[in-house]
Formats: sequence, C-alpha cells, structure tokens
Amino acid sequence: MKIGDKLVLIIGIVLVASLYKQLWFSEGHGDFIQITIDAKEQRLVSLAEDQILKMKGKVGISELEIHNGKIRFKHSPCTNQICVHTGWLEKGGDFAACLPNRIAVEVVANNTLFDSINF
Amino acid sequence: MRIILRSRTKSIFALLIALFLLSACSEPKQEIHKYSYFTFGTIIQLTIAGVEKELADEAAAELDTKFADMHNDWHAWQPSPVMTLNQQLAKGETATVDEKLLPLLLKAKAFTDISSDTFNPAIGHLLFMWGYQKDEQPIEPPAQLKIDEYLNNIPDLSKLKIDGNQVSSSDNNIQFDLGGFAKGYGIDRAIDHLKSKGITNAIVNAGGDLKVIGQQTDRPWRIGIRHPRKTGSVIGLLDVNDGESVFTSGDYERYFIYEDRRYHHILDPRTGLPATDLTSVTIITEDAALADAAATALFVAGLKDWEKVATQMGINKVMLIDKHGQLYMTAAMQPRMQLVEKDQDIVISRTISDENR
Repeated sequence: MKIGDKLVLIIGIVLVASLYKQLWFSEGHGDFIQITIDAKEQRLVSLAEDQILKMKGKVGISELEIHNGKIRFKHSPCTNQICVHTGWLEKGGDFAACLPNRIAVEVVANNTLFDSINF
Repeated sequence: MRIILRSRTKSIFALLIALFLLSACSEPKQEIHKYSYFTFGTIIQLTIAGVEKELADEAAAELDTKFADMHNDWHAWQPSPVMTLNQQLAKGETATVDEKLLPLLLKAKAFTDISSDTFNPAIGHLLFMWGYQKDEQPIEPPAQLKIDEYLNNIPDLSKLKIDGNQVSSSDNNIQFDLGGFAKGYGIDRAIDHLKSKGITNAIVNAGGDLKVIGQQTDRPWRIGIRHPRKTGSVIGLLDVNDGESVFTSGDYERYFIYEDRRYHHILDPRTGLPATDLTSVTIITEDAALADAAATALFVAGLKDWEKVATQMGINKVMLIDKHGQLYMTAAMQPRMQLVEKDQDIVISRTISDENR
C-alpha cells in the first residue's frame, strides 16, 4: 500500500467514525416526519431528501418544505397561518399542525430528546 | 472461482460495509404508535408504547369516536346539552342534565370555589364578547362599556344549585363554556379507556397539555416544555411518572394584536381583561381536569396570589415565568425540571408543602 492509499484509508475511517457518532449518538435530530391528514391518513417521509410536499387537506392544499433535514409549513390555505409561523421543525418530537386544514406534522427520531411537547 | 482481494480493495470493501451499516439507523423504532385527532378546537396526539399495532390501532379508532362525542356533548357554541342548559339557565328554568354533563358541572362548581374565583367556567358571555367562542382570532377587544356591563354582572357559580340531575340558578348571567377544563377531563376519560383496553404505556396530549401512564419502553416518558418566548425552543425537560398530568397555560397560545397592543386569551374573570403578570404557568398533578383548571387559575392569580390559590387547589408542583422572564418554582417542582439553560436564576417558593400530592 502506497502513502496515498494509506491517507485515503485513514480519511475514510475518520469520516465513517464521525458519521457513526452523528447518526447513532446525536441526540434529538429527526430522521423522519409523520404526516397525519384528518386523523385518518398517515404518511412517513424521510427528512434526508430536500423536497416540497403538497398535501390536500379539508380546506385546500398545504405546502410542506423539507430542506437540510428540517421541515416547515411553507404555505397554507388557512386564515390564521399559525402553522406557517411555527417555522422549521427538526428535532424528534417537534410538531406543527394546521387545524383548519387538518394536517399535522411530527418529527420522528430514534434518539429523541423528548416524547411529547407541553405548551 | 477463487476471488483474490488486494489489501487496498479489502480496505475499501470494509469501508463500504461500514457505510452500509450506517443505513441501519434509518428506520424508526416500531414499538411506539402515534395518532392525531382534530377535536376540542385543537389537535390531540396519542402515543402508545409496548403493545402490538393491532391493539393500538383499535384503541385509537375507539378514541376517535369518544373524542368526537365529548366535543359535541360539551360544546357551548353549537347545539349541544351545554347550549340547552345555558338557554334554560338564562330563562331562570330548572334544567335536567344527563350523566355525561353532570360530573363536569360538579367539577366546575368545586374548582371555582377553591380557586377564589380566578377560575370561572360560567363566563360564556365574556368569552363571546371577546370573540373567543370562534376558532379564528378576534380582531379587536370589546368596548370598555361592554366590559363595565360585564363587571356589573359577573356570573356567580355559588348561586348554581345542583340537586341530583336537576340544575337551577338564581343568577341568570351564568353561561357555561367548559373549555377551561373539559379538555383535561376528556384526557382523563381517554386514559381510563386506554387502561380498560389493557394499554398501560401511553401519552394523551391535547393541544400541548398531557397525561401519561406507564413509561416509554425502558425509561420514563420525557416531556419538553416549550419556551414561552423562543419559538421552537424548549425551556426544560421533565420525566413524567405514571398517572401524572402536565398542563401549561401561556399567553402565547392564542392572542391578537390591536393598535400595537397584544391581547391574549386567558381572561381574568374578576376584571374581564387578559391577565397581565405572567407569560406561562406549568403544573404537574394527577387529575388532568384539576390540572387544566389550576393552570388557568394560577395564571390569572398572578404573582401576588398564585401560592394561595395553588395551596387551596392542592397543587404543589408549579413553574411560573413572569413577563420579565423571571422563573419561579415550588420546592417540589425544582428537582423535577431539567432546565436547558442551567444557570438561570430561579425564585423558589417554600410556602407550599413539598410533599407529593
């Protein structure tokens, strides 16, 4: 094995070790979101891929944006816009809902800081 | 065929296996089941642990019906037994109430009595005047003239007579809106139902107020308490024991701004106006209906009277945050609350017994 090979190998090992630490032991960061529509339909969506999700609810279409492992209500057809003002969700247990449109979003993480939120 | 791997290829192969193993963390654990309901003008989240999905699904579907029934039975502003009762009391008539509504009326009277009138679920007229009977936010506060009119006719629940299932009142200003504690009472009933199904580990969280039974798989249920002024942040974490309820009343939940002034939804029944001292009150106790009423009562009681009202209501685990951000806790709450910012200055109240209740 040449020096360059060894260097590549060492960098690879360090990279994998750091990923292990981050993915297995970082507290709280979410892996998935659970979207509930009108208490009937549930979908589990990965937070890994940036995308815009358009969800049809009771009063119209809510747009959910996934970006950099976070999610938010980007647009909502409701009048109060409480869901949009909630902002980005990223940690396990983080939660936002649009009551008029009956759409709820919760971040699901294997290693979560808390199981439910009190407010 | 014999495959010969050179040492460099072996190393890269090992790295690829290690990377593949990383993907093992991508599936969420399956033993926790979560459900959401839109009722009581809010969202209810149900979390169930330690049972098969089939049983959890069955219990969740039954609760869907029960929550809808409770919402319809207790709604003051749509045709319901409460609306009928309000109409009869306004006319000075004696009403006959069913077994579903009666326990709530008894609790309404008892909670008001021990709260020194900081909790009053008979202020339907006042809530209507402010526009809080609707899901949408109000646009402007009522005129002072209307507030003055209310102050001359504050509903007095001590004048409500409950004789068996017969309810009457000599005060026709009494108009029930049970929103101040019906959610808590509903949570208690939901937990009872889960237990009757053999489910012993669950959280029922209705719009941020919750009760737990049992524990998560191998540790207590852990709850984040939202920071009243930092959106998306938690101020502290709590490990909640079997059968405990955690309720918070905060001025950030529902409010509107009119002419640069912020008006929130927690009205002081004694003034007709939003209570002003505090931004949030968090309570731990077992009875969720009591916790619901007490969180509102202590918020209204403010810095001057909260200790007195907490003692009367039998609550000893309390955290308050005033409008300047100062934290107050009872001696029994302090060891339970794991604050995110460890060096915060806390005023500890020792006037309330720290025995567990």
